[in-house]
Amino acid sequence: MSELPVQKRKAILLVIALLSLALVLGWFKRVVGTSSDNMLNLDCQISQSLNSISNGEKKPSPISINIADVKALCLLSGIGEVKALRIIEYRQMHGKFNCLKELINVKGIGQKTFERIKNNISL
Amino acid sequence: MKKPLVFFTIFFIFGIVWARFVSVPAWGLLISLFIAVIVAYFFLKDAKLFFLSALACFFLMGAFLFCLSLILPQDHIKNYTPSSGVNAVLTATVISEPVYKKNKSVFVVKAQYLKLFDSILKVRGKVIVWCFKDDQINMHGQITAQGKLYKPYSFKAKGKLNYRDYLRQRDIYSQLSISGDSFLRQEKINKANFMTKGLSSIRTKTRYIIDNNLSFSAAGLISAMILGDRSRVPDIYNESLKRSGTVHVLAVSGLHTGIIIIIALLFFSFFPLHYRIKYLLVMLVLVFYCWFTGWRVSVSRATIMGSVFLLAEIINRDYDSLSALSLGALIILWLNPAQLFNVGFQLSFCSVFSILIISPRIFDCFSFDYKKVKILRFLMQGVSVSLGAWIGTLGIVAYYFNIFTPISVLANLLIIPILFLIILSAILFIVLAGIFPVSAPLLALNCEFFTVFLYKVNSLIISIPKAYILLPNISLKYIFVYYGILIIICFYILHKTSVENLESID
Repeated sequence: MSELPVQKRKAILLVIALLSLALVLGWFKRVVGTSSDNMLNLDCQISQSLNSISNGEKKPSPISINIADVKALCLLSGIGEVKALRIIEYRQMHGKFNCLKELINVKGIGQKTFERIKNNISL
Repeated sequence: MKKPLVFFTIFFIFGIVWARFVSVPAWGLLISLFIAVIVAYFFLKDAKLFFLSALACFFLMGAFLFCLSLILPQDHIKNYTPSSGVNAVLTATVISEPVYKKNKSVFVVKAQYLKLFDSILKVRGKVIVWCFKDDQINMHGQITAQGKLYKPYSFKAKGKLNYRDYLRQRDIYSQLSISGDSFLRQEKINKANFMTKGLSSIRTKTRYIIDNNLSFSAAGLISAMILGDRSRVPDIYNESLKRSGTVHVLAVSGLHTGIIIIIALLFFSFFPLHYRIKYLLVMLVLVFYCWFTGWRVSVSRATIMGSVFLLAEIINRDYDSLSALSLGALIILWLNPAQLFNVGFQLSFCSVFSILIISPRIFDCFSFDYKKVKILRFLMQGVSVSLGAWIGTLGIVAYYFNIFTPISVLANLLIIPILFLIILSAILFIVLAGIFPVSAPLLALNCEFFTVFLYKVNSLIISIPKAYILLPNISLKYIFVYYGILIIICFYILHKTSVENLESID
């Protein structure tokens, strides 16, 4: 090392400092940068795909169309963020749904979509 | 002290080993590292003290990096994986090429969403999938699969490398088993960029050429040597090569990279380009080849060493192979410190380290008169390299494979030239068969001949009495003692060489 001039020593120190900084950032990202509350924080399309598959014997509980929020509504097959927002908008304008069939009145939800989701929803 | 990078890397490795066996809190290491960096700054003008504090920094960095690799994010799939299997649905992207075995296909996926007990979770981390279905899996494609999710079991005796440890080295903590009645759907989404897609299609085409023109055993061998896919090598070949200590021929290694450099340099020599541009293009070819073979440790090491050599030529600097090797180790371990405990990493680096340090000393032992004859000199170089590699890997081979192969030096001398011919003819066969498919059956004959020849020669070698000795389980402490002595010898050789160099300058 004695052969190395001071400039090279400075360069080595700079490299060490940068590597150490990278380690600190890596540690920070792993320990602090993640949230434990990741439930339902997901892409709507993928949630539909996942939801369409039965997980074991247990059937998922139906989603209440009078209470559910956007994320919960997104779990329904064929319901994306836009349609979920329209359902909530409809709810705010007309009050609670009286029957499941009333869902057809929401713009964008036709008979086909209703048939697909009717078993997974409740009032 | 010359070659500082070598010492930094060694201390970095010591740090990883220390953190592996001694439990230290990450924050304690981080504070120590911070102090060491400040100390190094204050000793900037004192070369010896600065060097010592720099060594301490690298030691602490290695230890901290290893601790960091054990800290998993809260949304890591490991945190949701039970020890015994439960039904789960997983949405993930396939990130490894599926390996098709008798009744199953095995591949690694990058988890995205997990449906477990009616909860849908956004997760991250890798999962190894065992699929007992006939589906053809597309690499980089997105899948939605239902199966049993569990932590991988360990299959081997305690203390030795087992399946669970092997997966942990690859950053895999969960396993999904998809049986016949489970659900597997391949979505039409392919998130790979155009480069990855292109590379994947080249690999598929190469595999198609190999499978359609070669016999089963030759195809398995060529796939291992060119594509790095060892899953289809017939067991008889594997066992036979293991017993002669030449199983490394099945791994894509530095020799392959060397051949690629020669071919690329030869190819670019036909173009009127500046030598710096040619070298840069060769570097790109090397990186491409490394990517093509799936970033395997031995190829990554050889690619880094080759690139450093070419870069040194470009900027007119001296090339130091030992420093290049150290840089390779540092980069690979920085990306995944658990690789240090991977047998492939250990074999690759130990063999090259001892080839670089011990082999020249062995070569010096031969009489000078013999070296004047070109063929004898070539033979002696071969013996020195083979013996150097054998000494370097002796302990690892004995520990992991319970075998002692005294015939290895002779076997390597005979097998390596055949391997060279196989790789050369395989590259020629694949490239020309890709361009002129009509020529494929003819060119395949060479590959068939050389692979059979390799097997026959190897069988002959292992039939020699005492060619190999099967060993009982060896304690790790003996291996540490062996490598401790070897490291002391290597440092002695390094010191002696630098003293001799100084004397010759005087």
